[in-house]
Amino acid sequence: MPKIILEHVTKRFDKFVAVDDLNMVIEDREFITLLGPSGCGKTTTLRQIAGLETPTEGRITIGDTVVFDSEKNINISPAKRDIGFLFQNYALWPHMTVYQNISFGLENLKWPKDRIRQRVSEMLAMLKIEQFEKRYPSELSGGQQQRVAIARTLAPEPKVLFMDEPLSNLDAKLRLEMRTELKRLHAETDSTFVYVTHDQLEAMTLATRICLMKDGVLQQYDPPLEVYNNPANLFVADFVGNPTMNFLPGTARVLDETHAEVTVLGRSFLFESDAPLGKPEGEDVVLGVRPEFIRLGSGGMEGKVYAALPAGMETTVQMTMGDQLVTSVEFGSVDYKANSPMRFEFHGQGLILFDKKSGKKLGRGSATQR
Amino acid sequence: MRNKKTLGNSLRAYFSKPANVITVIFLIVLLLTVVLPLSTLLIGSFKVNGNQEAIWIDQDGVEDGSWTFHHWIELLTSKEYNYASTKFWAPLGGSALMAALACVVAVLFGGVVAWFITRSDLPAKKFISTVFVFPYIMPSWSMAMFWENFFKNTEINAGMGILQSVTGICVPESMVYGLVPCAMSLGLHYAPFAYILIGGILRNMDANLEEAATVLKASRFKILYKVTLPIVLPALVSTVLLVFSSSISSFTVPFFLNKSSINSGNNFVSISVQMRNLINTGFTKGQGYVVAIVLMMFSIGILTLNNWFTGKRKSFTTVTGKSGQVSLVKLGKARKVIAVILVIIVAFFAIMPLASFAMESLLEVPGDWSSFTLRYWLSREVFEGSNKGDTIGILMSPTMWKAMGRSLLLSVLVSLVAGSFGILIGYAVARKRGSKAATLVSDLAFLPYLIPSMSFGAVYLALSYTKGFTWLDGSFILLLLVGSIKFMPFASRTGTSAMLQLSGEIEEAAIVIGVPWWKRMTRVLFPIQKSSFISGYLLPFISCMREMSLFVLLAASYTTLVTTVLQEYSRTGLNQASNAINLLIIIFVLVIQFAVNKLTGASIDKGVGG
Amino acid sequence: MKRILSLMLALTMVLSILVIGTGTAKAEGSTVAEAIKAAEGMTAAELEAAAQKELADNPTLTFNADSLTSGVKKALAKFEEKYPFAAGRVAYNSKKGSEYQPKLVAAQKAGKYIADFVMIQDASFLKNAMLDTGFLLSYVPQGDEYNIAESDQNPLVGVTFNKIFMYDNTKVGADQLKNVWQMTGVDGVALKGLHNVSYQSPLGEDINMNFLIMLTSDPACEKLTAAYKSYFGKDYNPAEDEVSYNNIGYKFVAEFIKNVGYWHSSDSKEVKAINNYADDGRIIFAGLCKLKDYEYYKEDYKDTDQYYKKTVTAAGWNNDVEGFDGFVYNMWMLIPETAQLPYTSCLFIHYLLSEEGFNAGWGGILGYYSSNQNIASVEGDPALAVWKEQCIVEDVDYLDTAYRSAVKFINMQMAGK
Repeated sequence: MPKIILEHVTKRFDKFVAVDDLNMVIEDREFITLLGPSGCGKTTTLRQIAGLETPTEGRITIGDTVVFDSEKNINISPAKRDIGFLFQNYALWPHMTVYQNISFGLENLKWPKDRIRQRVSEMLAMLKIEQFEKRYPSELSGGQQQRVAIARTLAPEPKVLFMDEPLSNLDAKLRLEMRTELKRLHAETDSTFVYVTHDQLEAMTLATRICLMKDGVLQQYDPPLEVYNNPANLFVADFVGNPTMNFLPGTARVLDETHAEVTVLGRSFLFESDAPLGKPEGEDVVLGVRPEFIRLGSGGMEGKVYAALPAGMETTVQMTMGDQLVTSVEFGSVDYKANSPMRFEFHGQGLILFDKKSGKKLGRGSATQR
Repeated sequence: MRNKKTLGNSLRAYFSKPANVITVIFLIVLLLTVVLPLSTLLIGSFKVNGNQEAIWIDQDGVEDGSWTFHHWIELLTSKEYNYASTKFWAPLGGSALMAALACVVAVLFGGVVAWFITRSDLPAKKFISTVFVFPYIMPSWSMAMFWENFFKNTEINAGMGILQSVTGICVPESMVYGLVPCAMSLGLHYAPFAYILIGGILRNMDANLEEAATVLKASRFKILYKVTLPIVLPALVSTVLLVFSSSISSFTVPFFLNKSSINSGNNFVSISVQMRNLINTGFTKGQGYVVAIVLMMFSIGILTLNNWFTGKRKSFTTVTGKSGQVSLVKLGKARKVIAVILVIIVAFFAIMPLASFAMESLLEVPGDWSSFTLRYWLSREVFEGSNKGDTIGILMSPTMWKAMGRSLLLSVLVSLVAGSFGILIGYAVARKRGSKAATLVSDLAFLPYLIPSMSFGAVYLALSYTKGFTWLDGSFILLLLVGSIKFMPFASRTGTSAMLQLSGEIEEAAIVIGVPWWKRMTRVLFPIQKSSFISGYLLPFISCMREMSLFVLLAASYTTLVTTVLQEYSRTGLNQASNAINLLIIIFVLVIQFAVNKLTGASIDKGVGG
Repeated sequence: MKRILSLMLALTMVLSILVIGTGTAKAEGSTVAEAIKAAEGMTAAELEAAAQKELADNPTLTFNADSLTSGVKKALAKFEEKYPFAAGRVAYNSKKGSEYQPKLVAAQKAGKYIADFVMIQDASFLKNAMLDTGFLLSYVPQGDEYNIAESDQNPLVGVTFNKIFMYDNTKVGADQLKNVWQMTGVDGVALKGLHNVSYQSPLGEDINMNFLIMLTSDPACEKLTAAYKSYFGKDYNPAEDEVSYNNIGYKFVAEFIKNVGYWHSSDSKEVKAINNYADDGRIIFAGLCKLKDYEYYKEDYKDTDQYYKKTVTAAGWNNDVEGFDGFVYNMWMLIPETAQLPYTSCLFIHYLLSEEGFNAGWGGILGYYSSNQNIASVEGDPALAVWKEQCIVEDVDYLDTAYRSAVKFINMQMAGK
């Protein structure tokens, strides 16, 4: 049903461009996260879709309705967009009890009293806050306030639900818990979720698609694993994934459509792309290697262990080779002594070649040492 | 033994917290400076105050100084010539109605402007918010004077006013004299107050609260009355409290606008006029005190209501996080129209009275431009054979300048003392929120606002004649003390609301790294809310500059204030000169406010609450 | 910008500190009553010498004169000229009656210094709070120059005032005020203009309250009864009244209050505007002395002695109204028993009651009458004795006895019930 389309949406505050010519389509029942560092325009984008902020230019369609069009001077109020919005600071009304906060939206929909009662009880039960019904927000903890805010947003069963960093004020454990619940909610409610966060892990784990933004410009709009495995550029590659990708600077010489000779870490590799290579703007490239694509113990490269960080399930090993720091992740708990020599090699098909100048991805594939 | 030790320890623990120390100190200070005057008033209402009262009461054994319930009984119940009804109940009812109307005017006008300024994309905001506070800077009777000058007409045999001479329209008498015009003038005078208080809350209110309601499909109207209004309710109640108590005890406005004949039905005698009459007449001082006490109880009632509304349960949750994205309501096409209308209204009530002062100071015969003269500004002609070189031209009079200098100094010092007290009280209240002692301090600090100026002055006069305090008599220090206490309510309100907005963590962060209390106040807390605090200094300054009745009993010849000089000119019939001084005071206040604003960013329109 | 502004602010502060003088010190004086007694036995030259010595002996003291009439201020300036040893040693403090009374009471109760010379009005307050407590004392100047009636000596009356009914008779035409009963509205609309009585509210002005109360006194009732007969052509018969009144005075007060068309807030302002009401002039009850503020004719008659005559004509003042012309009341010149410079006080009163002193303060103006009967009233103004004859005169004893019921009655009328 509701499919959200953004066309050439631009928002300027005086001279500062918060969102620059954004185009995206959010399909029905998707769980989209708007991801990016602070100030990248993700919250502004969300508020524009919700109608709380007016774009300078562009067109926004929700379902069959054009809710905003700068040319045709259409600007439908948020109340008529049939949406739910969860604020970062919850925005609970301090003068209303938990019950009143939740029922407020339903009253506006002119629901009969008993149905409101029933729905609120349902929401209270679902979010496990039944016992707080008669309390005022100031008497609740952060997590409880969060749940009330969610209940309030969900109660009218909005078809589209917008969330602005709703978990950022919670502690780590609670955040994890709420994350799971949000994902369950999405499955249960048939709604489209649009979710703003600066936490890439949250984006990865929750979303069906991630919209990654930087300085108001869309960087990549793909499912999480695609973003992870096939980042469109250096920024995306760097922003997504923990520990972060190794970026090894070097030079490249294109051999044919899918092959290039890449020199990094003072060694020469044959890079074999699974798709035709992009055209580099110069010789300088960056080879992006996710830590899991570095195998330790064998291979043609030798570094020195800088630090080993065992975390139980896996161990992050950092090595130096020359003045380059290389990070690898090994399954299981292994400990290495600092400064001990260590051999390693690249493996797998997931290495990414970037053009250094533009930052763009040139190709994805494997690299074998020559 | 063990108990003693624990007590000592807990005392030491109690006093190790600066907030507790402040609470205790102010509790003592306020008991002495506020409760004492109040109790004198209370005692006065149960005592025979002077021989004249004994003659009035005319009972055996009743003489000066003896105890009596007569004041209360007679004023509240006497049926002789309908005394209780005509002297007390009817005026009280009328005044309550007038004050309520004034509240409506002030809250509606001030609130609407506050909403436009803080919540919409109205153009010319700066002009409106600057000019809007002018009527508050002027003495309240100037609005009444302007009202009469504007609306009076020959139809009601009061001479031709501005409206009639420009348009020929004659408004009915009930628009010129009586209850409604009083309420209007007072409402307009106090509208800036409502604007300051409500605007402060609106400015600080998280816009998300309203947006959340929008998203939940609440209509604009519903948002206003279900979300916005309840949240600004504390500010509304504060406004109502301040406007109501000021209006009901305002003497000059109802006295000035009560000129129509008794048969017309527009004759309105306010309770304040009756109170003044009772107190000023030696026969019935005690009954005047009764009225003062009743008026105070009215205000205390509202104060209690206020506390109940701003009770802890429904209070603001200070949530850290971004809420700066206030999206201003788009007024669309109405934008310019509303702006023009507002600018005209605001300018009308702010600038016209000033212009009329200027005009009246320049015309020998009121309303006759051919009699234009600068005499009352610049003439060196000696004024009524003065002995200290007073001149008819106020700018040439050394007495005027001396008094102006003294008034300025007094006002600056009063604002410093009252403002700093306000911050300290605010600190104690914010840190010890909900504690009984802190609430008491905060309420006590508000009480001076409710005590009639004259009675307040009288109590301190008596104090300065008491053994051990005689050095205070006529001294500048006495004026400073009285002014500081009387004008503290503004400052303590501002201080409290500013402090409440600072989360305790900010101070705790400084405590953790061992910053001493004094430094925390001056280097951490003050700078953060600098503009609010400085605004808290401005309000007492302005009020003090234009205060007259408070100081009239206390000032000696060597502590003459500019308002006394004004009164002196006006008593001598030189109305032009007194208008000129009035204008001069307002200009001084405006200039100083402007300078402070440029220096610190504070201004009274950002004052209380924000 | 900021620096300049802060500099300006700082400068303002410094200036305001500089501008302000320092206070005066106070010292103990000898018994004031004794000094007054001694002064009354002295010749003018002796008194002058005593005052000079007193001022010289107390070089830190200032002679403080508290009063609500600025005539004292004017006279004080001339006093300094006449007695150079007092020059720069005197101060005038303007004190409004109702605001000054608490101060006097507080000083009396504490036995504290308040001033060296006090000039006040309000007979009842004076008698009950100041004379009965012995706080304010009278000094009566002696000598041929002075002719002060016995009744005016203790307490010493300084200046007597009158408040009368005035109107612009050039506008009113034939409908002149001839009988006080005209002001009760009995004539319907026949006497156009005279219905427009303008009176300052007795709730704000004590003198106006006292006048109304005095109207219920016996002498006033006599006047009212006579005028009633003359105006209505028959004797006053209480039985004909719909409401029963205590006496004819009460009746007059009630009907007068109902007929007041305008309650002005300032006498001087109202007098200034006396000719502004184009067609139907008002009858304004105000101090005759306020005519000095009547600027209308001042320009035209600036250089002639015609000014007051013309003003009086224009102001419609005539002194053959049947009933009474207005109200006569006193301002007393007294010395607090805590005065610090009693000889100077005596010398000042001596001066004020002399022709020279009176003229310095109130000379040449209508409506001011010295208690020294040797000083004639200004040209065109009848003698005080005539005024007392034609007006209601303030009487302390009557005010005290009648105050309570009269005030209640007046309040009821003011409320329109």
